[in-house]
Amino acid sequence: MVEAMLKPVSSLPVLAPQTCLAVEELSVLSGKRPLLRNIHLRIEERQVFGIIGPSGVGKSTLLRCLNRLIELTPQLRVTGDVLFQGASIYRTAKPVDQIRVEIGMLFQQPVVFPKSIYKNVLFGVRHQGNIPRKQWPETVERVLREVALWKEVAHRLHEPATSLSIGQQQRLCLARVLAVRPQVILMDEPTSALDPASTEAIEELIRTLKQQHTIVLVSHNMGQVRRLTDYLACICVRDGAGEVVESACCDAVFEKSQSQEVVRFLGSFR
Amino acid sequence: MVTALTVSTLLSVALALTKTIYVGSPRLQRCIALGLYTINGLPSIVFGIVGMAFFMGVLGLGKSWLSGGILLGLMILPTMSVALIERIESLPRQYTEAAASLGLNRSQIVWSVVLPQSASGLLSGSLLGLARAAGETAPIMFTAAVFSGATLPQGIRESPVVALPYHIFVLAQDSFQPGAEARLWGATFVLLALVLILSLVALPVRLAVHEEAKHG
Repeated sequence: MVEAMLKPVSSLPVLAPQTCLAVEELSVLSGKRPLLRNIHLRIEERQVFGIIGPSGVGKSTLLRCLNRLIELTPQLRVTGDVLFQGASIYRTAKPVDQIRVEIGMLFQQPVVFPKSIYKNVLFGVRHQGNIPRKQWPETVERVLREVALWKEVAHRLHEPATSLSIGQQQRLCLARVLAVRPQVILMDEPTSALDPASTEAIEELIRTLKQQHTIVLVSHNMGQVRRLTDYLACICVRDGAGEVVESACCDAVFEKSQSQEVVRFLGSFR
Repeated sequence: MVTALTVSTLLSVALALTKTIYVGSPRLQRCIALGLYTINGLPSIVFGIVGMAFFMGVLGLGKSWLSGGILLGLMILPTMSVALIERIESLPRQYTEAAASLGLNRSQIVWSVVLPQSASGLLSGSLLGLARAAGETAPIMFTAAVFSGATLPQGIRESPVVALPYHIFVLAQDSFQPGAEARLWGATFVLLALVLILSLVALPVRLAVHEEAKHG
């Protein structure tokens, strides 16, 4: 069973219907220098998929390829493809903005705009135009409840978002992502700047969100990865570029990994 | 001044956005920067003569507030553009990334993130530009200003205005006349005070921009 899970993803059969994201032969180049090489991944729906690896191997770069945010860095070039629900996100007539609505992202540091809490939550919604203005207050309440922030901010929705603590700001950012109704949420070390209590709150949210969304989580916190993820990909540097050295279910990677690079990276966490 | 500010604001916003957001090619970005620094280095008398040839000679406007306003607007264009470009480039990259990840397209990011947060750059550039324009004589002496006899503009053609720097210039030439010297020093004091106030108001805004650029 475990052996089957440890098989390279590229050798798996044709896309299963429940596959949400599939990364096919993806490489990222900076000029002629490869940063990521030949990445294959398959991410199932309503799964927390973890990406781990040493610093600087290209985990965040890979994450940004999954919703084409990588295109904001003009010197990087992407080859290969990412399929979202079976359709390419790179070779498509669909606007890139729509792809980013469907595949949202939560960053390492909370990025709140210098506006009120209310306006921050609606920042994406008001530009999409898919939720009528009348429903905006309901939307704000719904998503703030979803991220367990409603009780803390209900009485001060029109105060600056910068007045919130860092943990609250990160939950506000998550609420802002949820407000545009994404199907996938990419999380780039979402708790690395947070205290233990806020980290626990975000982890609890991830568990809840998993029932409705597919989550791709990059984290350096191995305890968190073990607690939250269903499936894992470990990226390490080979010949100067990041490659997926192992992709398997979480327990298999932590307990039965056969890759020396993974064993070395996980060290005492195994 | 209002005309100069309007012309310069529109052009500097367009140039700054072109350079920082819409043009990907570093070579084109360098060309825009080079053009701005070249305009900044042009002697103001050259502006005056070229402006006179174009507005009076080609367009036949005569001495007009519009000619002077456009010329002053072009003169302060580099000051305003560079201040705005600095501000946009100092904006934390996370803001544009966060907005893009919420599905905003480039124009929406410009309108809802870049411009609102760059307003301080535009403001400080405007104040410094106005301070410079307030002291310029050469561009307006041929195209817009008269010493006396001007009324509120009734149209565009042959519609000159009175300008403080030109007033000082003429008084300085006539300072041997009794009473002219006192008026000269009075006008000079008013102009100096105007420039000083504009520069002092712009200073804290510029310092805040630099501080943010340094610390992110």
